[in-house]
Formats: sequence, C-alpha cells, structure tokens
Amino acid sequence: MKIAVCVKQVPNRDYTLSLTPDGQWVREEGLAWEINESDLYGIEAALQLRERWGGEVLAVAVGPERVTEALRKALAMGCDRAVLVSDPRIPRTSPYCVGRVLAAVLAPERPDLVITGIASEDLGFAQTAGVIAEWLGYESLPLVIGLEAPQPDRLHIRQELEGGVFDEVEVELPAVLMIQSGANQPRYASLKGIMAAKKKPLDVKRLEDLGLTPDDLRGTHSRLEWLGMEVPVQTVQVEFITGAPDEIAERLLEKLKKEARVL
Amino acid sequence: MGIIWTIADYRGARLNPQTVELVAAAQELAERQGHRVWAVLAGADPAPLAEALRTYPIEKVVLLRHPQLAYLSAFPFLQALRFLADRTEPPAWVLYPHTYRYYDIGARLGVAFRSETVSDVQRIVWEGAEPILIKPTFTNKFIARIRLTGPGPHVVGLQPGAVSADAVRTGGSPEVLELTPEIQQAGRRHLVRSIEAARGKVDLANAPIIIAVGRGIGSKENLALVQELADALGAALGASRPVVDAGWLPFEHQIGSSGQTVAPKLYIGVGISGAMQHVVGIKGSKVIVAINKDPEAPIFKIAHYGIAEDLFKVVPALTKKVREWKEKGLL
Repeated sequence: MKIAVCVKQVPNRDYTLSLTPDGQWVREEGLAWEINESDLYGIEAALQLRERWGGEVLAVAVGPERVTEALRKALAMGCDRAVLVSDPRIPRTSPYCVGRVLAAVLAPERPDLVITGIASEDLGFAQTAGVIAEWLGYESLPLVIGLEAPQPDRLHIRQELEGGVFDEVEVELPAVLMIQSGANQPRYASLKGIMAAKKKPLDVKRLEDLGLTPDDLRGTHSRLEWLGMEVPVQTVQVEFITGAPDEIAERLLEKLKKEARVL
Repeated sequence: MGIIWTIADYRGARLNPQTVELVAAAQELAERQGHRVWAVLAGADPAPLAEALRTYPIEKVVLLRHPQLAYLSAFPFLQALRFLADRTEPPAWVLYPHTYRYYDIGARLGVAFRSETVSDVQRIVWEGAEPILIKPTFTNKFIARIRLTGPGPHVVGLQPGAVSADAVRTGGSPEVLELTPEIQQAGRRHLVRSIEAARGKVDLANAPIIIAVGRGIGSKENLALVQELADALGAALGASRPVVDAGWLPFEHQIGSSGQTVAPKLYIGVGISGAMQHVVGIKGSKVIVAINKDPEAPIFKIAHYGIAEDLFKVVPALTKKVREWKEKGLL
C-alpha cells in the first residue's frame, strides 16, 4: 500500500501571535513551529496501514525551508521519505494553489491513499484534501475518526459529523481522507527513529521541478485575493476580574448574582 | 446578470435550517449585483423538500433527481451540478454550507470550475456591490478579509450563522425545474449506516448552568477539581473536544460542532482556549465566564467575565466560596 500524508507546519500553540504591519501574515521571528495537530493523526493512520499491509509512506509539504524540520519529524515517526515544495511564488493563503502543488507532487506517485488532517491551525480552510482529490480524480472523505483496512484496496471508515452523527462508510481506493484529531494515538519519535530519519530521503523541490509555473497554480475563473488579517472586533467587552483567588471568587459570585442575575 | 446557486442541504425529510441563511445571503448578493437566485436540491427524490423552498421570492427551485444522489458524496453530486451548468448556464456564484459533509465537496467544486473556493466564511461585509468575505484564522485569534476576482463561478462556503436567517425575504412562487442528471461515474464510497450517538445521561441541552472543561485541565485526575465546583453550583459538566479525545470524559460531554450545542443561562469555561469548533456550540449562552491563564485566549473575546489566572488556584477558591454562600443562604 502506497500512502501519502500531507503535513503542514504551524506555530506552536503556546506562543503569542502578532500580525506583520501589513497584516498579510503573522510575525515569524521568535516563534517555535510544530506539525499541525490533526496531521499527526494522519501520519499515525498511515503508519498503521503500512504496518498492516506493507508498502511505503510518503510525507509531503508546501512551505518555506523551515518546514524540513517538520518533515524530519514525520520521518522520525516512521515515514519512509519526504518531499517539500519550497517556492516563494506559491500563494500560501490560497488552498486551491497549495493543493494544486501537492497534487502535482502526488500525481506521478499514484498513491493508493492520501491522508490530510481535518484543517490547519493557521488558515483552517479545510480544503487541501478536496483540492487534491479533484485533481487526482480520487474519492474523498471528510471527518474520518476511525478506519480499518480489511483488504488493501478497501477501507472501512467511521466519520464523525455534526450533532453527534456518525457515518460508517466503505470506500474503494484510491481515496483521500481527512483525519480528525482523536482518530488514534500518534506515536512519539523514538531515538532510533530520529537517528534513522537523518538518512531518509527528503527532497526539496521548486515549481519548475514539478513542471508548473506560478500561473498554473491560480484559478482561471475565480481568484482568492487575500486582503489581510486583523484582530477581530469584540462584540462583547470582557470584564476581567483580578485579585487574589479568594477575592476573585467573591467578586465573580457577586457579579453573577447582582449584575448578571444568573445565580 | 447571472445566477446564484444556493445548495440546499437536508437530512431525512427536513431542510437544514442553514439553508434559509444561504437563501438570505443569495438574495442580498443578487440584489446588489443584479443576479437571480436558484435553490438547488439534489437527491433520490427531492420533490417533497421543494415546498419549503417555494416560499421564497427566488427565480427557481432546481431538483436534481437521481438514485445515486440519495447519499451525498462528491462524485455523483459534482456530476449532477456539472450537468445543471451544461444544461442551463454556469452560475456566477455558488453558496454552499461549510459543514463537515461539504468540506471536500466545496473544494472539489472550485477545482471543477477552476475557481479558488473560499470556505469557512464567518461573515460578509459589503463594499457597495462587492462582498468581502471574513474568515477566522490561527484558531480564531485573527480574521482574514478576502475578495474574489475573475469572471466566476465564485464558490463560497458559509459557516452556520454567517448570515442571519431573519434577513430572508419571503413570499413568492419560484418555478420548479426538475432534471435527471446523467451520472456516468458512480461514487466509490458506500454508506453502510448512519447513527446518532446516544446522548446518555448528560443533559447539557437543558442544563441552566454548565461548566465546561478544556485542555488546560492537564489530566484526567484534575477533573475532580472542576467536578466539585459543578456539584457545588448544581451545574452540568461539559468538555471541549481535546478533553474527550484524550479519553478524560466520554463523548456525551462534548460541546461544539461535533458535540452538542448548548444555551445555558450561565456557562463557565475552565482551561478552554475558545477554538471555533467549541465556540459555535456555546454562542447561545446568556452569560459566559472564562477562566484561562492566557489573557490572549480567544475565549475572552466572547466572554462577559474573564479570569486570566491559574485555574488550579481559582477553581478551588470558587468552590469554597460557593459553599460558603450556600451555607449563608445567599445562593
């Protein structure tokens, strides 16, 4: 079974983020980076399928050079090889363009299965899987919370949908899955895995290597123009309650009883 | 002058309530840009659902009828839409619900039209006739402003609540166009069954007070702290997704887009950062209190009262105070 997992590198969630002056992106100086959480579950799902049926797991990513660190981690967890497409001409705020690049990496590989996380913690469009599936002509499944492979060409999928609805679905491969956090228990990279990862292939490609020009990436009928980001205006003005824990407790109860009248 | 497709979603014999919001958004867009609105219903037998859509002053209700459309999946659904575009004309805009079943479909529809889909739209602001699409980024810390350029079709996925259903105009009798699309390539996924998770004994929907616990609690053992406060206040215990994923509480406690939507008079979030998936489930709460040591946590953007302190100090103090007040007859 040949499985490709898409990995995105996002800011570590413990860091406070601020915007660049033009609002186009976040300030990257001083941030720590990690693999997008749901992508870790995707990697684990891929590794488990390889352990069951053999084959290989390819990790793919789009982003600047720093993303090699995320791919090394994916290799240390057990992926067999990795490809990073690093090219400043890729419009990173358009999931269409990023997905187009990933599809171009995957098309010649013809994987049986492509796995992405449910959504990225930075942009969160939740489109990568769909864009890849459409370019490759693969079946696609959102919100996968469980999967079994009774045969190497067929998966039994459990999807978690809105309002506590679960769908059980049979899918014939090839397919693209969007994995939800919680689908499994992502493994930690072992010391042996970290050592082995240093020797595994990690190719860094530019658009030319994929036979693409920047124009090829864009939608010809509708283009996403990223005007920038801002801190949302608060609809409710929060009232912070401060002091020693005892004082906070007393003040909060007073406010809830006398001001908000909900106790 | 073009057409706006509004994708009408449904479950069983009932339209998804979000459909009304999509119709309202389409009406506004149509008015500002001079388009006509079509509501598009796909299914094995969508006719009975058409009546609910015929109450809006839109041009057409389109019924795409085919046995393969009984179960919503990308291959048959996109072929049906392609058939509609070929048989009539490609739309200027497509508005679809940004809900889980449409995550792959919305992106694929964009690629099929060679259009860059904008999904997860939280709000629309207008610059004259031009919609600026607002979507959350970086787990709700920021919002992005997005414009679409090009001839279209423009494909936009709206979050539930992005447009108020109250804005919809009613009264009218759209014509019904019924088509049986050609579907050459069958879907390669097959629904075995669809089940609704048991709600169990945790009745979050009717609880007047809810204390919800998040990732910040750190471990299953620490839940006892929050449970004590819940017991003292007579509150039901809810949880955000990471707590359930970690196995610290069962699924029936989960609040948010995958779990339950709640509307208590008092919601207290403990160690919850306020990711969009959780926030959509608590928006209806009358009063929101947030306890989180990070003063930048997004939950403070929607909270009425905020306590930016260590929950392990504040929660026990609060429990103690609640008990004292009860002894004094103040609560």
